[in-house]
Amino acid sequence: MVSQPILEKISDAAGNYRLGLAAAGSEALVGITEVLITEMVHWTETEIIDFQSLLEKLLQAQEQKNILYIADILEYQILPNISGLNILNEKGDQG
Amino acid sequence: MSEVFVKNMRVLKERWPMVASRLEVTGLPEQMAVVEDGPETTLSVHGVHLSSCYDREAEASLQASLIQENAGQCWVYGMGLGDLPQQLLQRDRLGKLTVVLMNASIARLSLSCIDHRTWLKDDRVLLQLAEELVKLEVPFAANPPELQLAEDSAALLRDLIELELATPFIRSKQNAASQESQHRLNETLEFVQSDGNVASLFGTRAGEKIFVAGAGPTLKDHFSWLKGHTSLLIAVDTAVKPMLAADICPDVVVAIDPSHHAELDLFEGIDFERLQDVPLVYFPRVHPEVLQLWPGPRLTAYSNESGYRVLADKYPKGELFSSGTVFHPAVDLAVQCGGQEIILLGADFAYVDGLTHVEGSSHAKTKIQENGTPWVLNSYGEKLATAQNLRGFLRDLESYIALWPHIKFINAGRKGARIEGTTYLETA
Repeated sequence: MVSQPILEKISDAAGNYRLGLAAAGSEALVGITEVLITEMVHWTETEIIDFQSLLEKLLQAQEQKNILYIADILEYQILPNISGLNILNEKGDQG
Repeated sequence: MSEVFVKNMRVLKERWPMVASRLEVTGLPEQMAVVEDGPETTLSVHGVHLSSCYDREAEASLQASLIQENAGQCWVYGMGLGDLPQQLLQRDRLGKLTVVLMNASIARLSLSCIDHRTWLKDDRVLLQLAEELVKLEVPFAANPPELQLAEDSAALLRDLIELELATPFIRSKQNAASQESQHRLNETLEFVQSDGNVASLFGTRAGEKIFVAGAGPTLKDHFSWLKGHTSLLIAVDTAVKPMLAADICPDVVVAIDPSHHAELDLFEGIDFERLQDVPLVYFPRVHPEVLQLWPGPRLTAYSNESGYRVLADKYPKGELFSSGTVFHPAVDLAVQCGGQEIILLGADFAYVDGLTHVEGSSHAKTKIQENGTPWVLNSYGEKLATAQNLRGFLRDLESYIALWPHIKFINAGRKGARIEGTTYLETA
């Protein structure tokens, strides 16, 4: 199952964007995407395809500096999508 | 003109006729759309959503959380779709809510699509245009897209809001860096113990004209006339290499960057012999290799960061203002030296002619202006691409300048960001 810390980080990043703290949100986002991309090797092909499509959306929103949509994608699309996936290497998950 | 706009405007005309008049003559944004990507509808301007399209109420509730529950009055910057004002007005203790319109055309769009009358009619609400304001009021909450899309006349206020919002994040980064740098402070301890004190320069130039050279792209515009200067010339480290290449030697150099490579790169290939009488004013976080390399006298200074407190108690030295850029302590040094007329060179806080720094500096890079890039206005009222941190440094410098009303701060160039509180050098 996905570790609690990464889910919290996604939720926090979304919150930061909604509050106008784009620098804090962007910094967290870099860490989040790195963790998730690393963990993709544990996922099924369908899960990977779904996630990649969300990442593309996220990148597009970033390019447009569409900050509240970045928050929406993180909180309402990526978060529910990955909640059931295997993420093991995130710091704090395996001690 | 939509029916809902007419209804909203009836309230505005009755309560805030000046604001209503302004909105009546304001057009709708050029690129706007109704967005129905999620369970809730929102509006977008230039591809930027004005609210969540999943849960607007939850978003407004989060934004409202920046204001303490027991606040008697507060400010909202950007009316958005009205969710944030409505959320705050649910608080019984709130006696006054000032809603500031950061962009009149976005306000017009919102008023054209959404019925805002419930909150507009609330006696506690005051509606204002950002263009009338230059001071940030607290406590406040903001609708972030409207900061991003703020109109030109609201640029200063927008910057102050963004800086205030970012301050806790910046402080947390500084504190983290401060903890990491304890090791560095141990490394530079022997220098701090034996080096001079920046305070030895304080008051030595009372009433004089002092030049302060930053490393903005326009610094090179002043090289030709700066060669004959006789006044004290203080330069930031980044400016030294291009200045020496132009045969201009600073009288004092200021360095604060803890990065080893970045700092060494700045001095790569320069003739250090030319600096053997030039004092280096430094914060103790500068890499010891840089201090070893410096051929001239070294003078230690501290900033007001908590990380320096223990060291400062044991080895007292003068303090210089800095909120992140080396230009701040360089200007503060000029002030504390007693300068009465301080001429700022290469103080651009923006990318001029597509460059980040003055040509010849190892930091100089080209920058392409992209959609949504932060901007500042130059003296001609033109928008210049910049970075969020540069804009923050600019606003902090302006706040600093405002503390010294009896000192004349002169910006030698007009092509960089306009700096409030400065006049321009006529001969430049």
